[in-house]
Amino acid sequence: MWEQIGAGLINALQPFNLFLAIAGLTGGIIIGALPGLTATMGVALMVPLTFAMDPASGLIMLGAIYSGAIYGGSNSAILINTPGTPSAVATTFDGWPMCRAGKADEALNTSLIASAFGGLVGTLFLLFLAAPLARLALKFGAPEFFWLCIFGLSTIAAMSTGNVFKGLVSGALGLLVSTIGLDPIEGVPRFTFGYYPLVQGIEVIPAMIGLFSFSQVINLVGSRQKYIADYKPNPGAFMRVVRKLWKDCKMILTRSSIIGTIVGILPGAGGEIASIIAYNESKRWDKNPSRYGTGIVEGLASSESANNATIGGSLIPMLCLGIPGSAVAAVMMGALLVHGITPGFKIFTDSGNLAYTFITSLLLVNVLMVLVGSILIKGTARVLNVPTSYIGVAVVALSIIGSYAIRNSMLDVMIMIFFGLVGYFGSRIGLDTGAMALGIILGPIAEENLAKSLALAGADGSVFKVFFTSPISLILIILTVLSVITSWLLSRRRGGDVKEAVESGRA
Amino acid sequence: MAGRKADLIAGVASIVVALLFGFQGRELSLASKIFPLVLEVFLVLMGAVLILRGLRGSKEQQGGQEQIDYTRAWLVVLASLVYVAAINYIGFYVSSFVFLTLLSWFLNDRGRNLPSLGISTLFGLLVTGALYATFWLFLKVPTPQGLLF
Amino acid sequence: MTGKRKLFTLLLAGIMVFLVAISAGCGQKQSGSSSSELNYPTKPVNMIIAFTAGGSSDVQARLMQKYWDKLVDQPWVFQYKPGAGGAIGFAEIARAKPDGYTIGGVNVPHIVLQPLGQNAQYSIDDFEYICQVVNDPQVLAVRKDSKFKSVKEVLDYAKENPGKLKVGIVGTFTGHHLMLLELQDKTGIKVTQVVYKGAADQNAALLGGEIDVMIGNVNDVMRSLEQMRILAVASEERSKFLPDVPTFKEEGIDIVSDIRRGFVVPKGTDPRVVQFLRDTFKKIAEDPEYLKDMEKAGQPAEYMSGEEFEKYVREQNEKARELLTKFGLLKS
Repeated sequence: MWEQIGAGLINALQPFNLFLAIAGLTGGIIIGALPGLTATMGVALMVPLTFAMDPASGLIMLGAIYSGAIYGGSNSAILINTPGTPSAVATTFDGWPMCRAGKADEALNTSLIASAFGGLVGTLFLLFLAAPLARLALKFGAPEFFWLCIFGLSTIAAMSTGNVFKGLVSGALGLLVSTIGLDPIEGVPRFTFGYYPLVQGIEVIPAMIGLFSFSQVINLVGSRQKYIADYKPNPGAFMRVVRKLWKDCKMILTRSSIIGTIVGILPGAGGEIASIIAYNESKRWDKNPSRYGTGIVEGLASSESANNATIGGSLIPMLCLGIPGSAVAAVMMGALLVHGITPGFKIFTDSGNLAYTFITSLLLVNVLMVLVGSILIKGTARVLNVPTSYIGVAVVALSIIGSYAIRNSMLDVMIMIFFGLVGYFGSRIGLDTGAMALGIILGPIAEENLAKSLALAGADGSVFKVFFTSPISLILIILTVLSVITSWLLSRRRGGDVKEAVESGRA
Repeated sequence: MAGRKADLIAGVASIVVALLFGFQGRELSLASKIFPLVLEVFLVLMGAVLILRGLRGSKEQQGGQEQIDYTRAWLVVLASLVYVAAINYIGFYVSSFVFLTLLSWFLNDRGRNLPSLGISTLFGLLVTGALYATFWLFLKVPTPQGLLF
Repeated sequence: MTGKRKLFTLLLAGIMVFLVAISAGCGQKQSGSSSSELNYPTKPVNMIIAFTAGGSSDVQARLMQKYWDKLVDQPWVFQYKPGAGGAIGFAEIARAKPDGYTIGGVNVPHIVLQPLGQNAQYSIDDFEYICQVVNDPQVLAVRKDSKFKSVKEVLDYAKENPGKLKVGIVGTFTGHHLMLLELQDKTGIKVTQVVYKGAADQNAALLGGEIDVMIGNVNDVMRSLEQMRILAVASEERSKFLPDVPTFKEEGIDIVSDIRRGFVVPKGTDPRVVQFLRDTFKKIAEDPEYLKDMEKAGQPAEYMSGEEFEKYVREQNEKARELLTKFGLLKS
């Protein structure tokens, strides 16, 4: 095996392959940073190019685009509070406050290093533990998925400490909105309000662009701020961030990356869920959880390492079982098949050379990402030096084309604007846009798996057996309960503080 | 906005949305209704709690609200709607250019004069050009089509 | 002062560039429409795919594009219009201007099922049919270590235990759904239907033991032959991808069920353009290189001319209408 890894590394280091990796990373980061252009789209668009290359080179390029795009999403999340990809939603929680506090350089470097770290961990799992983890993925059935979604939703309660009711209302509104369209069980149109085209449903990305970025523009322009945030280039931020991460975040990075890898393995759950769960876990284990959301390195590191770790994870079932763990992995599998390579446990022996070249190249890609990323950061951070009036207007244009591009639909553009208004007015009455986005993301997955579980329960004749007997389900249920209890305790403690403060103020 | 008023509005809004969805979904079969129905009930309950809290007076802290210039805020929304409508008729790139130029000129802090119009025009060209390069030349992602391009 | 001047010059230059660009654009458009003989295509042709980028329909169309580019000067511009199981994209094709610059990929039976089951906003009369290019038959698959060794064993179990057999399908009002209805109709069995969103999670569920049996397509199950056993294939003859697997007919059940992919243009397109497209697609579909590419990609190619394809779609429409009526699923 070590021999094969060595041979793979030599292959990956060939100049042409290195060039492809760097080009793929650059393109991927740009695609990821633009809201509406997703990793899936970027990879799918480049697949035809790979037909002309040898399979290894093609895969290296696709892997680089994939990694770049997932990382790239954090750039816009930090700089303009717009997650460039759905998996960067949790990145806005701490990234944007950091940026507003004038720490954009720290934030950008944190997300870069954390992404590379997560990517490396995910790839190492792919390299050494692919087969057992692929089998684990199969243990995850509909009920387990349902509980995973509930666990994800429980983070709402934790997210909005001190404002739990409105957080829950926001989450429920998001979930309800996500049911617009064809229902997943019978395929009948629901909640189209007499307007048939709504049958296509509320796509996550336009809704998210509206909630986060369009509403943000209204806010910025309305508040007459000259610049989005104070920004002065901050040389040495990179090394400072490295030291900080090494000192305080070893545990957070490792845990988040492992969460990312495991969630990535599951088909149907990807970076968006992984990063939220990882964020919430970091918050829960912290001595002072209320720091989270105020702009701290730890929060950013959790979500960004988790979403890049899903890459290695999503490739595990794709290579071992022919079951892609994400939409991007599915596209990459198509590229493999065109070259006549069939996935399966045997891929490591039958096409070992290719498999190991690809996996070692992913390790390399993550190292190169630090290089390419730190060059790009120098340019992207300049966005903050442009006055708000220009940036705001440009973000509107980007939001519109971004929501259109996801499925070439003008209706999605109107949906984006609608959610912009919802986000703007909602946050003025204390609703939580993050919780709403979470509801929209998790709603369809939760409902689909609930329906499947109920169908299975019908066949087995026992709801209890389906929902409450598998070990994974039990673990997830316990985690959910823990998560709710800790956030309740937390809010009580904080509520107490507030009360004391109010009373001492009166006295 | 005071915490009480915000609670009242949020509570009423969530009940209204829940009832709207409930009314829309009244003829669905149980299988496709069950998930939204649970949410509707939940929203009505939460809405009631919020309204009660609002009536009793909320202890919740509200973050310091910034001063908002509503004319400018609404202008952005209105201009965006006109922009979206224009895309259908005169195409994405032309309307983007016009939108970017005019709105950034109108909103800029240096006064609405010829030099600032120049900067805005330049800015409009630059951003439209960048969009054209990434979306069309590089990625071949189609943009909405109109009479022009 | 000089700063202002510079800006002003730049501004003028910008406006001029802009005007030149516009006039160039207009000029191009006029030259296209003035000639009287068939001058087609003179600009890029939109290719509407009703599913997501990277899906099977997309992969197939992109393979064809390679050969289209060899025969025709103007490229295809891919437009993905996914949603509602294809209904959004199909409606988009039906509504497009019939000037020959919009072609769309369609799937049978999806294209007949959505108007029947979901009130989709188009009908099968809204299209001119160019050709069929893929015929991907449905299969019945189980895990390698499953107790079921043949279709008969599955049916016997289902008969003895009504509602106990868990069958996975992808989507409702799809080829899988239709086949499951047909199977229940023809054999009298009653099963629990578990609906998955895509082939990936369905395959995982089968391998993980959540469902007993699944309906899949040759294109999907080929990747997992190591872990799955294919019991039967629902085609007239055995699939060349799975030569050892019997057909349903051999097993004594008269079911032929498949997903077919083809191309259409909106109704009312110039007949000469339709003819041009039919000829071009035929040339591509018969190119041995193309067929080799298709086989590599696991796409079972099967060409059918536009007229035959239209006839086939209408037959399927009747068959689906009957089945859906029987199960009370007809909406219009």
